[in-house]
Amino acid sequence: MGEIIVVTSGKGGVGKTTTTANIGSGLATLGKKVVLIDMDIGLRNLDIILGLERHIVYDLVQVVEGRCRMKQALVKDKRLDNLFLLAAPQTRDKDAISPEQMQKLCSSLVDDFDYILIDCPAGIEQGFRNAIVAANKAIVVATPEVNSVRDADRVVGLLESEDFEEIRLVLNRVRPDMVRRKEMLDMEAVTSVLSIDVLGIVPDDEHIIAAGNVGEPAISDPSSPAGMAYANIASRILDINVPMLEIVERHPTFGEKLRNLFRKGR
Amino acid sequence: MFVSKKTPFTGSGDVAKNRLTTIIFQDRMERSPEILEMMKSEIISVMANYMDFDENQIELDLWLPGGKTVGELPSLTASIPIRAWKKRH
Ligand SMILES: Nc1ncnc2c1ncn2[C@@H]1O[C@H](COP(=O)(O)OP(=O)(O)O)[C@@H](O)[C@H]1O
Ligand SMILES: [Mg+2]
Repeated sequence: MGEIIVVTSGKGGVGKTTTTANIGSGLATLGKKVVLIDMDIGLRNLDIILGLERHIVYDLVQVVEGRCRMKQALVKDKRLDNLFLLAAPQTRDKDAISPEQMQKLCSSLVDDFDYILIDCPAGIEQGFRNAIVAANKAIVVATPEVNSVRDADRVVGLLESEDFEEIRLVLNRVRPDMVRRKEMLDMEAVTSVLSIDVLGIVPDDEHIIAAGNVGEPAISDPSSPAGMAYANIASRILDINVPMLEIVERHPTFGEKLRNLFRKGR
Repeated sequence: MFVSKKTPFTGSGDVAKNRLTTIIFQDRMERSPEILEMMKSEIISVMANYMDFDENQIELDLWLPGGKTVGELPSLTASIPIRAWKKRH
């Protein structure tokens, strides 16, 4: 039976969708059969991050309403044969699915997949409730900002009251240069207030945006800082012991320095 | 001429940590106000092993730092007027 993990945060725009796409791809690369469920109903974007937007015919609400079969709605990834997406409808609202229906939907997938990753909408209202109902493990994403960590704490409290088996933190968009200058919360500061286990640290990385441009998760370039961080996170989910990535500043190469010099001169 | 690199935000990471600690503390207290009462009754039961005091006179005071002062953390003060020692331990 597969594991059901929800990726959540409270605050919007901190990297839930990015994290879902990258960890899902990472697990699939490691040989697991994975389905990603986009629960951000009305604001779907997991399909775009994966570059699958033109392949979507049916969405999860249509499955729930019996208007298509599950098999028809599962979209296979472009690159990985064992990665699938179940898209959110773009034109419905959060009430288009009930918690009971979500529970049933996930139950119908759990025997066919090793991992079901659920991309949660922002907020802690009904959309959040629907997204977490079937999961018993959670990945909480936060950025090193006071607001984001505060919301994460709120979400951790809610998940704990729902008896989640495992809640782990991904600290996203860390800027090593800012941490060094003491202008950013560091991991130690965040974990000391949140008191949850750390699954990984992801640096702020322009590859995330560049990869998004072409509809591929950053992990498909494993040499990128964020790609490497997400690959390590996927391994840790499989209980492979990977040391925490020291997030180090990338010093510009001579060529890059030269190019920057010319850019500034323009 | 020397230009100082110090900006108003130098060291702001420590300020963030302080504010975060206080905000989360406050949030959790608001979410579960019963914690304060639970602590009070546990403190009373431990102290009652050693001392004699009037439970109604106990005051618990929660102080939260307000400004940007680094190093100031939320603090809890208890004032418990003691009537007498219980027998020697
Ligand atoms: N590690 C990162 N480095 C740089 N940009 C990032 C990183 N993680 C997320 N982003 C950017 O932040 C924005 C919000 O990310 P997204 O995953 O959509 O957040 P959410 O799903 O929580 O709303 C996106 O534009 C994304 O490209
Ligand atoms: Mg999202």
